Parts: sequence; structure tokens; C-alpha cells
Amino acid sequence: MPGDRERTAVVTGECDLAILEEVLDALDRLWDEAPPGADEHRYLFALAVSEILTNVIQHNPGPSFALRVELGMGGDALHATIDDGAPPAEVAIEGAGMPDVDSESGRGLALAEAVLDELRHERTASGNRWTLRRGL
Amino acid sequence: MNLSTAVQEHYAVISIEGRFTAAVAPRLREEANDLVAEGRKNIVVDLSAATFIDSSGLGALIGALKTARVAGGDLRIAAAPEHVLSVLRLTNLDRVLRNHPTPDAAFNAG
Repeated sequence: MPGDRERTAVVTGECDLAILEEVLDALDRLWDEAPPGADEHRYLFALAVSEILTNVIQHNPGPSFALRVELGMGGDALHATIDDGAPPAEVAIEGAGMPDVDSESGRGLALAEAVLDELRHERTASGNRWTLRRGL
Repeated sequence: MNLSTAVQEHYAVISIEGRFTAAVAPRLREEANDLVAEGRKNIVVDLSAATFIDSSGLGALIGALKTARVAGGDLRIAAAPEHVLSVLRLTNLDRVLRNHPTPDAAFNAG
């Protein structure tokens, strides 16, 4: 079964919004090659990837850092690993609530947490790593 | 992504084609600001060709909604596909951004 085999794609680039389109394109290509589940998974996982990647890019405190995004689709899950070369970030994932309806920002982390089965942030020797997983 | 505007008699329609993300959000805010500055304070955002939306897109819609309402007008959305509606529900924004079947229905149906 093609859907049982782990398929991956890697996108690297500078830490600006241009990479977001490339990553979402890569996700679409991986999905179209062999859709591993219902379309809802595709949209909700892409949503989580977009939220975390946009946060990383927009909260980037200094000059451009390199980003590396690895996407994977296997038999039972969709996953992504986002590595940046930025200084360690202070992140509180748990309990990220949805803001009031008239707020113009602040929904990203809560949305990502709501649609993922696993969302982890850790500091690495060279920056920050985000791990995202949605079970199929 | 493509953003285009069509001015009707009683409202203006901003159509969004493609992914509605942080790369596009500032353009919607600017377009809404320009329309309201011209006195066109009733705006419909046609989402029929939006292939994706995230919280940056939603934030821009809320910003433009506030701009329109402060001017005494309103911003409504139309023809949103199911994947857009599901993100609205996840964020509870379906209560303030109610979807209308067509841009025409958004203002003419009351």
C-alpha cells in the first residue's frame, strides 16, 4: 500500500513568509501523490503547519535565520519538524486559549494545539525545534 | 494568491483567490481601509476561490470588519468553502463572520 510507506519532503530557506508558500506547496504535493486519509486531515494539518511557521517567522527577533522544515506522511500520521537557527524562544504551548472574537491576532497556537495530537517545542544546540503530529 | 475588488452600487466585493495567509493579510486590510476611506463602508469578502485560510487571514477579516463598523458600515463574508467554515467554527468566529451564499445575498438579503 503506498499510503503505508513513509514519504517525506524537506524545505529549507530564509526565515521569511516566502517559505510558507513553499512549505504549503510541498504539503499539497505529498498529499496529492497518495492521499493518506480524508481531506479534512489535509486542511487541518496544513493549518497547524501554517500557524507554527508563521509564528516562528513573525516572532523572529533578529536578522534572517535559516529555516528547515521536514514534512512526513506515513500510514497512521502526518508530521512536521520545524527547525530554526534563532535564539531559544520562551514558549508556553499548554493552555493557549482562544482570544476574544474581536481580537485580530493570538489564535495561532490555540488553533494548532486544537488540531494536532502532538505539539512540542524544544531548544536544540542550534536553535528551536517544533514537532507537529496529527494522527490519521 | 490574488485579491481583486469590484464596486457595486451598495457595496464592494473583495475576492480572494488562493491561500489567505499572513502573506496576504496586509493586502486585505489595506484594501478595506481604502474602500472605507472612499466612503464604501459595506464590504463583502468573496471566499469562493479561497483554497486555504489560517488565523492571519481571519485576523485580517476581523480588522477589516472593525474598520467597516467604525465607519457605520459592515463587512460580511460570502461563498466560503467548507474548509474555511471549519476554521471559523474552531475559532468561534462563525458568530461574528456569518457566511452568506453569494456576495449579492450578503447585503441584499438584509
